[in-house]
Amino acid sequence: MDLNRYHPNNLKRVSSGMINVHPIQRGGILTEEARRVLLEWADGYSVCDVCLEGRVDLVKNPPIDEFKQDVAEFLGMDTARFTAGARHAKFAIMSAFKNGTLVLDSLAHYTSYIAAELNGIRVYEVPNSGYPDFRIDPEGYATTFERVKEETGRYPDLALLTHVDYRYGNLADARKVGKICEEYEVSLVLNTAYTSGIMEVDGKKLRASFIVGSGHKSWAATAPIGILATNYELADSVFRTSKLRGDWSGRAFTKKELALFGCSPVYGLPVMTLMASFPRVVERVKRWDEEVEKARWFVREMEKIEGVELIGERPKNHTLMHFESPAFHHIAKKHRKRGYFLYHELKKRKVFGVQAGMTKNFKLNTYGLSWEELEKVAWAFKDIAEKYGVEVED
Amino acid sequence: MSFRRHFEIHLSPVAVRFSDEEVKGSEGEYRFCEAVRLVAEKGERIVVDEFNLTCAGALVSLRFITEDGVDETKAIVLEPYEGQECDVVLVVTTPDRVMSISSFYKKLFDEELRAVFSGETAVCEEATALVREERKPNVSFLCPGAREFGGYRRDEVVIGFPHDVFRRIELAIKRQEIKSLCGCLMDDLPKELIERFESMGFDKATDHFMGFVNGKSVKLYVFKGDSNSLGVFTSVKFRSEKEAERVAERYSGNYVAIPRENWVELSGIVDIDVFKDYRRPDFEEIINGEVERLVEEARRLKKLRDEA
Repeated sequence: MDLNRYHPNNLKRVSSGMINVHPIQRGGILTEEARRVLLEWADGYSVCDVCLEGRVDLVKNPPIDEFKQDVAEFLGMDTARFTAGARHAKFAIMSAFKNGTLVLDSLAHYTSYIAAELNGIRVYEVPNSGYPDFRIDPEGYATTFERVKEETGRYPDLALLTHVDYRYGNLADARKVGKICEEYEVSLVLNTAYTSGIMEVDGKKLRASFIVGSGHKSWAATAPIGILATNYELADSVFRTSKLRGDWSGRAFTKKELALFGCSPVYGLPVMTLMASFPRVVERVKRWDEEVEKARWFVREMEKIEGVELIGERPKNHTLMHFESPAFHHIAKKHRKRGYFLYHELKKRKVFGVQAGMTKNFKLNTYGLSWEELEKVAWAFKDIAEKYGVEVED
Repeated sequence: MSFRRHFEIHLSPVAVRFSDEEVKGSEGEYRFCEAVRLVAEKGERIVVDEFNLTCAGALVSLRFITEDGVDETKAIVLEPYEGQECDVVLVVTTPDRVMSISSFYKKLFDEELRAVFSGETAVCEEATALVREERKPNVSFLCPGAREFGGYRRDEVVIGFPHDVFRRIELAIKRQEIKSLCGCLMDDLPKELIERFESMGFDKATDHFMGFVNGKSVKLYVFKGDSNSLGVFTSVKFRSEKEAERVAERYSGNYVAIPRENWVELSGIVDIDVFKDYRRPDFEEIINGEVERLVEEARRLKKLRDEA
């Protein structure tokens, strides 16, 4: 065992000192306030010093109990819990619909499928429109509900919509899907891993039964932490408590919420950084329009490079974007570093986050970049293009 | 990372070293296969020679006894493999692990891992002597001796590797030469279909294929459904959104022109069932013809700009 490799001096982050445009990183960058609580709350079970009720969401000091209600209110829902990531939130919801049926969009994250599988739920996909937009048509939900009815004799138990998908960064029309779900009386899970925390999401307005969020992806929190918000009507089934009793000892755990493993595993920095960042998050979602404006500007700049083209919906409504770049792919074929050349060239220019080995198409996220940083990133791509003789518009 | 750790092998690989000089044999009596299993499980060092080796088949196959009377092998040293020099490395493992190993082997050497087996003289000949002689790895499914007396479990098989091959695999593991990706399947397009498109110069992108035709970037997309038809796409960039809209409006050709901000996406449908027809001899001709016409049309579309 080489224990030296774990020495702090050897634990340097590869993206350190660079502009990180990795699609999953932008919304999780800690706020100044969150950084200030890091050391104080970094020990294992730091928030459990004064735990009287045996559940992290009921802790009064620090004010997690109140915080969860503030988060629920912020999302336009009745109540919330913190989970070990959005994936856990989805699992928790689906555990209340075991062995049922789920309709979900065909751009959903793999964890939506895994959560369903783990709960014995049968999955039906809403198709997307295919190249070049890959849009989810809300009407596809109605069509798929009918298909489920035809096949199983009843409408699905649950629907899931990925508000913004990880592949193309398309913003789905949640309002329309919510309306359809309401008409069919199907509970809607809105996966807002890429939206709540960076743009306004109001579950009531969108007619969502459940909002799933990701603290480390979009709420400026330390991983792992997810958010599960719902209404009081459904809270009882999703947050159902333990009914088991030991046959010999008579022990029972009546306050422990089953799907959250009794007490959700977010006992330290995850929940504290989420809390510390929250005031800034509440305020930053109001500036979403500017983020979209920056994203659209960036798309225009990128498309000045010959052959670079945005895929997914146009105009861009989110900061996660997916480009096709046949010219870079062409270079990669002849370059000695092959597909890694772009990654290395960007690193040289202090830009990080485009997946190593990707040149044909790549994703990045511009959320929270200042105009100056954005210009630097656009310049980096253009500079690389020019270096290899790819035409760049003036 | 070692071979054992990478493939999560439950027993230690065994280094097999042939010696043409006398080496003191271990106490007791062994079948060769039994000794290999003991070394793999217990981590002992066992030396077999013609006196403590009790299996006639092994004596012959390992050349302790030869027809011409010249006994080439005086002893065989068996030890847990820890990078030492040896002739063959034996890995006792299960079929699911063989699958992973064979996949890795194929990627590294661009050849299949073979299994030549006869149900006789398995560990001694098929996995050891044959491997040493032919310098190629081999999978053996054991023999009655190994299964009944050698202590092998029902689900165990043996792979023999020439030492240099085994060392090369370990090096590739260490250097992470063979990338294991996430294992997610993003579509259900047949491998042959993907290869067919690739051979035509279209690389697989996310949900579609991408290629260059006469200097233009062209995309192919399989519309899944009842017909599995093929969409061909190319895009033309304009100076503004308005210009793109005007051009798309004016366009009256055989393709569909859809404005997307300052771009016009030009597309057509090739009316074939891709899943059925990709094996057709004229498949390439049909697609290429359509793509060339589309590219030509895209050039005409660009010219419409001046009229728009």
